[in-house]
Amino acid sequence: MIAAAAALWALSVPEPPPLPPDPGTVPAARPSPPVPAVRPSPPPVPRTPPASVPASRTVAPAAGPTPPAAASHARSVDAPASPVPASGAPERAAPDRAVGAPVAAAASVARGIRPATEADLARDRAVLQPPSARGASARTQPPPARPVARRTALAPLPVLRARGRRPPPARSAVFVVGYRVFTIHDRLRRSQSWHFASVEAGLLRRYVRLGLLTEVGAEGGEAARGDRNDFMVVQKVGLGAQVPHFVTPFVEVQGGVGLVRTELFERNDLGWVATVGVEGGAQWAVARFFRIHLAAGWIRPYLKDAAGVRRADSFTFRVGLGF
Amino acid sequence: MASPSPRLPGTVVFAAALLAGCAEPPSPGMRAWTSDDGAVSLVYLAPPWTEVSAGPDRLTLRIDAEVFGVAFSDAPPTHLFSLAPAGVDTSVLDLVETIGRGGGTGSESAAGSSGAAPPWVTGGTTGGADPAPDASAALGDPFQVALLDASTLLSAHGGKVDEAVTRAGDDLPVATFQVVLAAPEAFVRGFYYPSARGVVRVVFVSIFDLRSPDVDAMVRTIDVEGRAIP
Repeated sequence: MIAAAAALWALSVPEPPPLPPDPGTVPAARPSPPVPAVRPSPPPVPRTPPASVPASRTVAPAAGPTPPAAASHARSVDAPASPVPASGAPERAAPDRAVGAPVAAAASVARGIRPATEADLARDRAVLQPPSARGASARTQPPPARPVARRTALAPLPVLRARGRRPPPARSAVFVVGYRVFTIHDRLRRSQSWHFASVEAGLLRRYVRLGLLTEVGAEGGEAARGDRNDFMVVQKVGLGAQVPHFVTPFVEVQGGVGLVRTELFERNDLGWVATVGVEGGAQWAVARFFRIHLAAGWIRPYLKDAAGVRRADSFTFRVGLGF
Repeated sequence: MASPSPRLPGTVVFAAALLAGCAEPPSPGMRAWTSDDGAVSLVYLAPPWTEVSAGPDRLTLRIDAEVFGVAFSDAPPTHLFSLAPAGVDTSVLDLVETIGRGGGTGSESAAGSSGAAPPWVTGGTTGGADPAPDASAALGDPFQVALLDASTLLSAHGGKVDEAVTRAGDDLPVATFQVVLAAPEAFVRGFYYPSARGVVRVVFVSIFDLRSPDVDAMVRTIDVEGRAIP
């Protein structure tokens, strides 16, 4: 059904009209319209040249204006009988103003290329002349310089290598892989040190410092139970200020939330943790893509479990490697 | 000499407030229990501990079976705790039967019914001949009560001694032991404190090993007439 409808639609669509021929080309299928003879054809020229006429008339003089008589003579010899070129375009310039040999002009016309005229050359000279010389009179104006071909595609420049002191970094590290530690107390009032592995991604690294920190840690100290230690996962956001240089000092406020798994008397519980803190430190650009990150500050984790919310304040320290 | 900044008092007040805020508050759920006469005191966490019964001189706690806050219905408690004077009306067998859901009575699984402590109960701590627990004399001596309880448990439920009856502290006359029962499978750890009115018996019963830091931390909060395990 669909195929039949498509066939009917194809039959109903009228055939598009033929496109006009491209300029400068002659459609092969259509005959040239009859051209009325403007002037009568000259009488046939005897093949035997006179003594004053060169044997080869197909070579035009290299320079200098062509005498009207010679031009008309050349046209009468080599130009086609019809004044309309083969391309069908009307002849817009007088043949006596054409530059170059009439034979070459005729050949160009035969190929569909219009020969350059004095007006064309004048326009080109006006374009090539400097602006200061355009206002000068034609008498005082020096002859136009020949256009020089120039390369527009430059060769690859050599790699620039700094031989002296490298410039200070404009930004802090993109990634910082670090280690954080702080100590609080567990519910049984035992010392509980938390050891975190942290990964920081810097979103703003110039004078405003904005980063995302993901930290995973496990407990240690007196409350630790070996392979059944409590652990914590925290996602933080840090916002602060810094002065990027070889040693980049910074101050940052951090906050985040996460999950904490605790075990007391062999009973596992899952709770929430939220942290706030202030951290200050510095980042030392050891190499272009390698930094050492040191920070210390204050952290307050809020731990929520079935018993309630408890908080603790602690000193925290973080060391890391930046890239 | 420069005069002190006018902001100094405010800074000091702010710092003091900050330090006061930084003082770590007590943990939520930490409960303190004291006997009526004030001779015995204890601090425990609730949760996970739940009070079963409390009297003027005794306290019983339990920990229900839960994983990540999800309780197992009809499951026995994982831990039991009893603090009471060692008298004729109290027995550790009741705690064990609670853990085992009544499985393993004394007559069915008794390894011996003579009442005498097996020779390995003492663990060689006394040296020489094996002591036979004297029920009449046990009420005043923590070690005798500990030996009697261990013997009773092993005779009723079978099992082995995990930690022999020993002194809990170098300078403390507090006896302690741990046995692993066979039926039901349970750990029993006891602490026996001397007091003016007899021996105070503290017993943990659990399906887990009781020689853990959590139990040790809880035991360190027990104070009987000024005696506490450091």
